[in-house]
Amino acid sequence: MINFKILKNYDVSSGITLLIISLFLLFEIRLAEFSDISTGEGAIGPKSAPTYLNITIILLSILLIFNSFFNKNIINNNSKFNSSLVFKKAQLIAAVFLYLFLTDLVGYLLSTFIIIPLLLFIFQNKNFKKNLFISFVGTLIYYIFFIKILGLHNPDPQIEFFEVLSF
Amino acid sequence: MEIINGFYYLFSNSSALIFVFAGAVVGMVVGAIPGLSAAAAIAMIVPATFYLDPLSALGFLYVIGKSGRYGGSISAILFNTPGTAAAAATMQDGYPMTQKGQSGKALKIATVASVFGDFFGELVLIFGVAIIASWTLSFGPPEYFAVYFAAFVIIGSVIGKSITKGILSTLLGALLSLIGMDPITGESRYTFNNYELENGLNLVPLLIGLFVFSEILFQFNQVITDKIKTVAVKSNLKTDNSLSFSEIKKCFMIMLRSSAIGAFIGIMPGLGSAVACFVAYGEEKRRAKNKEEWGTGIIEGVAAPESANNAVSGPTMIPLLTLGIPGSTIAAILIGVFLIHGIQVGPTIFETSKELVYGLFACGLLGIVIYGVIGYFFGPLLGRTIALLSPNMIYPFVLITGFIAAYSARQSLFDVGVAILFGIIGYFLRLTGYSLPALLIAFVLAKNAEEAFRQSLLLSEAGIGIFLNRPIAISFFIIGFFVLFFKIKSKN
Repeated sequence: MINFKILKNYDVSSGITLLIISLFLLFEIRLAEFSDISTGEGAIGPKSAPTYLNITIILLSILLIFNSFFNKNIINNNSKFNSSLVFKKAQLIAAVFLYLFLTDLVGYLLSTFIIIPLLLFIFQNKNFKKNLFISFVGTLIYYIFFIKILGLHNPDPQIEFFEVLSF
Repeated sequence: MEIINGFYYLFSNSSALIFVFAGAVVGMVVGAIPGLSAAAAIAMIVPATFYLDPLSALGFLYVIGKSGRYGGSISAILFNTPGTAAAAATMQDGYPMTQKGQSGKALKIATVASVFGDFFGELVLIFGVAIIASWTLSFGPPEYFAVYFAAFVIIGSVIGKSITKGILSTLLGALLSLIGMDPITGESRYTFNNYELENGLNLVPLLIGLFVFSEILFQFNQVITDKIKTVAVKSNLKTDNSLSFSEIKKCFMIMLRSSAIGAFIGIMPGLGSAVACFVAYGEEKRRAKNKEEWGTGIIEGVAAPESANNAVSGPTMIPLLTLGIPGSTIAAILIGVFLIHGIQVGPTIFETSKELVYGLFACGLLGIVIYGVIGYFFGPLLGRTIALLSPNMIYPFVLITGFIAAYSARQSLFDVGVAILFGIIGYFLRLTGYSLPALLIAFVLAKNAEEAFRQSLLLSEAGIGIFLNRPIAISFFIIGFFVLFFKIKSKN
């Protein structure tokens, strides 16, 4: 039976992940068809560098996993699992993806105004009114600096209604 | 003297002068904020420099790197939290001095030592770079491939705690650079039929992801649990805030030796300021007669690491300008900025863009003077101001600035997605002990390395034997393997 506790060892878990990824990428490049047959194979073809790199990564990943069974000084994830902190970190990642989604949907200005209070809240700033005020001022500063002064293209919102806020 | 022409070139460009000044201030502030590195600041600022002339853009970023290293000492001394990894050794004596009420003196000796070390490093760069560049001009593709190979092996084996993970980090960076069109045949690799990946991964979103988003994720627990304490210990005695000439004289030889150590380490790709400061601190403590006083708050303990970590700055540009190999994260970012402005980095740069290179050196020297003057007179004020800022208020805005910077590189939301993805990947890589600087440097170099390798074989009739017919190429292969062997032996 597999002892999954071994995955708490960072060397083993990262080694296995790299091994799987590089095996996939090795098969991907070996099976790829290139139009120019003469340069597709051999040392000078487009397959050569990815092949050598992936093989080396596979060998080193195996070495990493193998060594972790004998090395007593390996980094172990012995820290207590703090579900609250993990949940907050997940919230942060979700908020960034939400910002990306909102920017595409309603444009830069409104999405920034929505996301700043949310991020401030995730970073434990719990005064809602203060966060809203900071968000208003912050959005304005970002808008003036990036869009007006630096001339950054304001992404066109998917929802046409919000184009009015794109200026 | 070419450097005089460099100053003339700089002073005839008012925009560059303004950006050198701005770079000195921005670098100091960012470096002094615990958890925010100069590399993260540069990553966010890079897109804004696309529209500047090359000297303003490069001078701005180069000076941020310099003053950022110095800025790290402010939080190390005042808050016992190094603003950057380069200032970690400064805490050993810097913070005890603050506890004794001598924060003013500690900040002043840190400024003097940083300026001394930075000048020393810059002079090594100015006088050393042209000589080495004239030698590397004769290099062909086989020599270049050997140089890249040695750089990958050296960076991979010296940059982290684990040799295997260090080399794996460089290989991952190299693999990422292969995404997109093949440099010789123009065919797509690893694009998975995604149009956005045809031109490969862009440097800016990768930088933002690895050095800004992953940093935020990494610091998140500390920030929300208030483990970064930004409370300065106030100094009340007037004499504790001043630095006498005799005290500077006492530290002169320490600063000179530490600068030499820093400059030497700076030339080696991958080692950097964090290593230099501890080596110099250890060496000076070993030489000192008053060993027992080191660590209790003495000026020598601040002068040694500060001169060493700043002396690294200039020499890290030597492998970049002579061979096109960035020796540090900041140099890797600069190589991207050079390319964005259409300047090929390598020994030919002294023929094609001589004015720009010496103008950049002049920016560096002027930047040192500016941050030295500001730091000497306003360092304590900057420290007190930063103490008022709450990290949990700063980080949301850092994240949003990173988001916009990732978007602005190509005005593409796909790039923002790439930055977020690499933020998460970078976080897990750091957590598991992999090296992000090694990954980045390999990402920047790998495409050129592949081109050099394939061009060598195209030129060759003897196949891979071409590398064995070139003495310089063999020398670089031997250097790479020697460093790897030495590291493995020292680990065991």
